[in-house]
Amino acid sequence: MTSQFSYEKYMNLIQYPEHWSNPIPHEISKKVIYNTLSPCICVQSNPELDDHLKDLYNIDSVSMLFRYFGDYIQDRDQVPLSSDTKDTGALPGTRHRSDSLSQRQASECVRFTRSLENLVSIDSEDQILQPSDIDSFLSQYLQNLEPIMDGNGTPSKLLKHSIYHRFFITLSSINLSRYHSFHHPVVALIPIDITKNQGYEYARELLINFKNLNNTLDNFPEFININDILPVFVLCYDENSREQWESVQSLTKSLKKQLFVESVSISLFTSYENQQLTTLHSPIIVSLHEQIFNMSYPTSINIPSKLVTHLYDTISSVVEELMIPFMNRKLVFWDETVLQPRKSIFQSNKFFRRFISPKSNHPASHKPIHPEDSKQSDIMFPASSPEFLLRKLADWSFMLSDFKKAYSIYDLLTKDFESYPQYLAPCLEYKSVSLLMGAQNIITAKTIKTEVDPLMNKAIEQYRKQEDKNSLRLIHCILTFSDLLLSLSDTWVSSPLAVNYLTLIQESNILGPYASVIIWERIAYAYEICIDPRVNDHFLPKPEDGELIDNTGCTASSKDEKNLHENDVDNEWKNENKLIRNNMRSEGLTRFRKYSLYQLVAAKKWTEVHKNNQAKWCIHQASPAYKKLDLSKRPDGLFHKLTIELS
Amino acid sequence: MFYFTIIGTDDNPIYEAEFSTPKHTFQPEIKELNPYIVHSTLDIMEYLQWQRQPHLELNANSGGFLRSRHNSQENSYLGKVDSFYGLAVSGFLTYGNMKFIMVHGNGIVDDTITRSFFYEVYELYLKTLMNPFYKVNDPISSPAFDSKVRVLSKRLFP
Repeated sequence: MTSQFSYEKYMNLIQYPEHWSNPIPHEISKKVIYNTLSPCICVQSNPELDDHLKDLYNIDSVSMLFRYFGDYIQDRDQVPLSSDTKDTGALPGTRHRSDSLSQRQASECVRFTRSLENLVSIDSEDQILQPSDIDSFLSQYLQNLEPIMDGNGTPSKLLKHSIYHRFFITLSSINLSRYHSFHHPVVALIPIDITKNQGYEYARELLINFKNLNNTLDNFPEFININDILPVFVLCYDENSREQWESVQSLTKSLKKQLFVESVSISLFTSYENQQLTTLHSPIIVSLHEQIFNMSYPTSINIPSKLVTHLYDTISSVVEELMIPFMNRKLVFWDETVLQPRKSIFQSNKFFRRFISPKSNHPASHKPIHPEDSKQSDIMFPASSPEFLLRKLADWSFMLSDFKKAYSIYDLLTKDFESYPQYLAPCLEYKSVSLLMGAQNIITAKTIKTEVDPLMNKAIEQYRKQEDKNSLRLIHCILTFSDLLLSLSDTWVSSPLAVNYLTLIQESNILGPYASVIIWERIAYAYEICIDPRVNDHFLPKPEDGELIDNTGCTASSKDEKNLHENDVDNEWKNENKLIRNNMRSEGLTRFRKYSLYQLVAAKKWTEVHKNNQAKWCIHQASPAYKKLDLSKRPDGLFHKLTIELS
Repeated sequence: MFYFTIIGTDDNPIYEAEFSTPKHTFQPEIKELNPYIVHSTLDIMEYLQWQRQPHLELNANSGGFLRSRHNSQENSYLGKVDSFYGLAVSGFLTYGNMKFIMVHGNGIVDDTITRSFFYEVYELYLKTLMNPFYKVNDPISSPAFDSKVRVLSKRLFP
C-alpha cells in the first residue's frame, strides 16, 4: 500500500495510527464539506450480479463495491505504488491538480449511494437521524479508539480533527430532501452481468423499469425528475473470455444505437492469478446505521490490485466523460429556459410585462403542492417548477465548483422563497456556504462582519423558526458555517464568530454527551487559532509544543534569550519590583488561556463518559497554561483533581 | 451569587471571595470552574489593556499606553468583559497591572454598582499595598481586608 496521506486515510484515521503525527491537511474542512455536497451516483441493483459478487469477493452488492471507491476519486489511495500507472498518466496518489479547492475540477469528488428505489423507499425527509443515534455511534467509535490510544501518550491533533469530521459527516444526511437537490442522484449506474448471459433484452428491461420508476413506485417523490438522472450501463465481464469481450463490444454499440444510453465495461469477474491483493478501506460517506453495523461486524474486503486500478479508471471515465458533460448540458438548458427569462427585464418589470403575450412560454411561477398525507404547512415544489429547477441549477453549479454562479442563483431564490421558510432556510444556508467556498481568498474582515455574518444569522434564524423539525439540520448548518469561518486566513476576525455559532449549539442542548464534548473541543480549537495577524510567529508562544507558557506568557526559548541579555547587562542595577513582560508583542492578541479553559472543560466531560484517554489528551493540551500557576496545585482544584484521576 | 478575585501580575490569584447566599449559590461544577473562567478572561483583559489607536500604531515610539484614547476619562473599570454560558464576567484594571475580576452568577452586570464595588476594593487594596510588610503579588491573607470586602459586597450586592 502507498504511504501517501490521502483524504480517505484522514477520514479513517483510526485505522492508521502511523499517520497520527501528521500535520493537519490544508483546507481539510472545505474538502469535507465539499465531499458531503458532491454529486451523487446511485447504483441500481442486479440480484444475479450481486450474488456472483458475493461468491467471488464477499461483497454484498455492486452498489457496496462502488462505495469503496467514492469520495475523492483522484486521490486513488488504494492503488499500490508498484502497479502499472501508465493508464492514469500520473502516479497513484499524486495530485496532478491544484490543491486549492476553488481551482479544482469538480470531477474529483463523487458519492455512491444505493439504488434509486432504495433511496425513495426511505422517508424523503431527514428526520430519521436522532441525536441519540449519533451519540451511540460516537460511543462505539471512541470505544474502538481507546485501546489504540493507550500506546500514544502524545496527543494527536490530527486525530481530534478526524474525529470531529467523522462526527460532521455522520450528521450530514444522505437521504433525499425536497428542499435541495444535493443528495438527488445525478447518474444511475445500471450493472449488467455478461458472465450470466445478461444481454440486450435484459438491459432494455432494466432501463424501462428505471425510467418508469416514477409510475411504478407509489411513493416516488414529485421533487425528483427521472429524466434528470443519466442512466449508464456497467457491463461486468471476464477479461479472459474472448466471447464475453466481443459481446461487451457489440452490446455497447447496440445500447448506444437503440437505447441511446452509454455503457462502460469492467472486467469484474476476471480471475487475476498471482496478483497482489488490496484491502479496501472503509467507505466514508455511508449512512449512520451502516457505519454502526460496519463497526460491529468489521469485514475485510480484498480484491486484486489490478481490479482496483481498473475500477478507478472506469469511475474516472464515467465522471469525466459522461457525468460532467451531462451536468453541463443540463445547466446550459436550465440557464436558457429558466434563469435567463427570470433575469430578463421584461419579466421583472410590470410596464414591459403588459406587452408580453400571456401565452409566451416563459416559465410561470408554480404554486407549491401540498402532499395529501401531510400537514398544511408541508409544502413541496415539484421537480418541474421553475423554483426547484433554479434550485437545482444552483446546486449543480455548486457541485461543479462554480460557486459564483451558485451564489447569484441562491440570491435570486431567497426572494422567491420568502413565504416558504422550509425552502428559505437551506437556500440561505447554501448562499452563505457558496460565498465562503468561492470567495475565500478575497474575503475581508469587513465582508465577514457586514455580509457573511448577517447572512448566516438569517439562515440560522430561519432554521430556528422550525426548530421542532430541523434541530439536527440546524446543528449541521451551524457546524458548516463555523468550519468555513475557521478555515479563513484571518482567524482573528473569523474565530470569535465561529465560537459564537458553536456556543449556540451548546446552549440549545440538543446533542448527547459525546457530541457535546466534541463541540467543546472544537470551541477550544477555534480559540487556539484565534491569533492577531500582527503577532509574529517568532514571538508566539505555542501551546502544542508542550513548552510551558509561564505566568508572563513567554516560552522557555524566549526565556533563554532573556537570560543571555541579562548577562550582558550584569553590572547594571536591577529593580526587583519592576514588572518584566516578555510577551509584550503578543499580549492580548492570542486566546490561549481560553483554549486551555475549553480543553479543561472537555477533559472533565470526557471523564464523565469514561473516555480517559481522550481526557488525558485534553489535560495535556491545557497543561502549558496551567502548570506553573498555583491554581493548578490546589488539591481541590479541577485541574489537579483531573490530573490525579487520570494519572 | 458572585465570585470575586484579584489577579496578580503573574496570573495567580492573590485574593478570592465568593459572595453567595444559601438560596443563591454556584452549582458545584461551576464553582470549581470559576478560577479557570477568571483565568481565561485575562486574555480579553489584556486585549482591552493594550488596545491602541490606529494612528498611534504608525509611530512605534508613541505606541498606545493603557487604552490611551480614554485618557481623559477614568479607564480602570472595563465593564462586562466576557461571558461563559450564562455567567457574566466584569473586570477592573489597576495602574499597577493588577486585575480585579468578578463572575456574576446571574449573568447581569450592573455597571454602576460593580464600578463602585471595584473602586472601593481598589482603595482597600491600595491600603494593603502601603503596608511595608506586604509585597506585590503576595496573597492577601489579612482578615481585615477580607471582612471589609465582604461587608462591601453585602452592601452593594444584597
